[in-house]
Amino acid sequence: MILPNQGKYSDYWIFEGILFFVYHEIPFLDLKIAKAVLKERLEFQDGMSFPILCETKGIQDASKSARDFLALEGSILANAVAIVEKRIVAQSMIQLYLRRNQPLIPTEVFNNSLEAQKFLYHFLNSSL
Amino acid sequence: MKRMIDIHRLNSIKELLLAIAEGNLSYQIDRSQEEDQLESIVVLLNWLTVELQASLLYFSTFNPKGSQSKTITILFTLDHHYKVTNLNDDALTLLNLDRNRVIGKSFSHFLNNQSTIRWNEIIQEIEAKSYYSTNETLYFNCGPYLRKKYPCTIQSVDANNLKQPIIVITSFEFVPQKKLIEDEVKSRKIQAVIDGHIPSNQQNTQTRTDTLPKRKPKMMLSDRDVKIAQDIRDYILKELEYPMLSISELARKFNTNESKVKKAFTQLHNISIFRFYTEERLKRASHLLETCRLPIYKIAKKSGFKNISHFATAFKKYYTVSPSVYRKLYNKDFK
Repeated sequence: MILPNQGKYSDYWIFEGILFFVYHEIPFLDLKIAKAVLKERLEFQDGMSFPILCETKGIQDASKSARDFLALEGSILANAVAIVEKRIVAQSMIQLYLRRNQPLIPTEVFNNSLEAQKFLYHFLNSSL
Repeated sequence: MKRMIDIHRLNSIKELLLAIAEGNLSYQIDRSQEEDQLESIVVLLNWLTVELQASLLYFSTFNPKGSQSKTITILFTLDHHYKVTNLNDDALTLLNLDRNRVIGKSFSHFLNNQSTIRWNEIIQEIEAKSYYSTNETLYFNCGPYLRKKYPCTIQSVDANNLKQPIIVITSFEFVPQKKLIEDEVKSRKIQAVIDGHIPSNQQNTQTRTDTLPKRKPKMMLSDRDVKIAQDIRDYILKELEYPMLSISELARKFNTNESKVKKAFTQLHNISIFRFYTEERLKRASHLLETCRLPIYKIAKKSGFKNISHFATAFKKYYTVSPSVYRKLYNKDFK
């Protein structure tokens, strides 16, 4: 069993070359939290790139500055991002985020983890 | 109960659309706990309004040689129980309430739920310090359906010269000058009618604003130029790890000419292409210096610098300290 690293805002672990990243309960993701989240992730990765599976179920809403920051700086040391989200409202938020912000790396949203992992397997090689 | 919530949300959507139609992009709808398509529309509208506001900032660098907007200042003063003791007329307009319905009320009464939570934290911070000042975005309730976002400065005034400390909250909003002129002319005209300077049967004659010279909207860039400048920015960010294409190569890649590439990029992003490319690489390097233990030459390479001395010079010029000093200051593993 893999024990996740627990950050202030997220849990994360690596399994089969994929970085799993699960947000804690965050009622409103603002720029300050977004910066802290990125820092937590980069410290954990220690300079290595990974495809990232990101579970956003803990996030209720996010500010524009946080979204813009994550679309730009959030791509550091990430080969691709698969967002796993089942909630209808959150899916709408993510759709708008993807269309408007157009993240710099391949980013897709899935409603289950298995599909998300299948997508990320295509980006495994570039992390080696 | 569910139907009541739906009616409330539908009314909120209608009010927000009307506000947008008037050109007011400061309003937002308070979120409910519902998990349905209607709530999705609420979120999308909230986000779109903010996106539109940001897009309009593109024109903010355009100087039409005449003030297009005026700042309206909003001011509240609170007593040591955090109740409103005074507010200016613009703050009253914001709340859309009579003065006697505001004075003496707790300030949190006028905030939405999210901001009320933050306000309670701020109160604790104020009480922990003899002097307190912060900048915080607060959402004010504007009637039953909408909230309005204001960047506020909250400051406690030193209690030394006063029996009790007071809290001052200030904010501002830009309002189109044209609207202000129209309002002013309208109000002057009504006053003139009241004072008897204009016969009431002439009330509907043209106002001065109607005769103001019409300014032809001046577009800085064509849609195509804006698209090119956006695409070049995205391209540079995606390719940060690699040497940047020359301006002529970029022009060829985006089917335009060198002068347009430079002009469009600088006008849209307020920075030259080369400076943008350098600053973005340095920002990336700073993130890596703060968070990982890779040798500095590897960080330079990952940030698109082939030459480590060039990287060190550029880094020091931008951050005023060398990469190694920066790392010692901000990376917990090197402190």
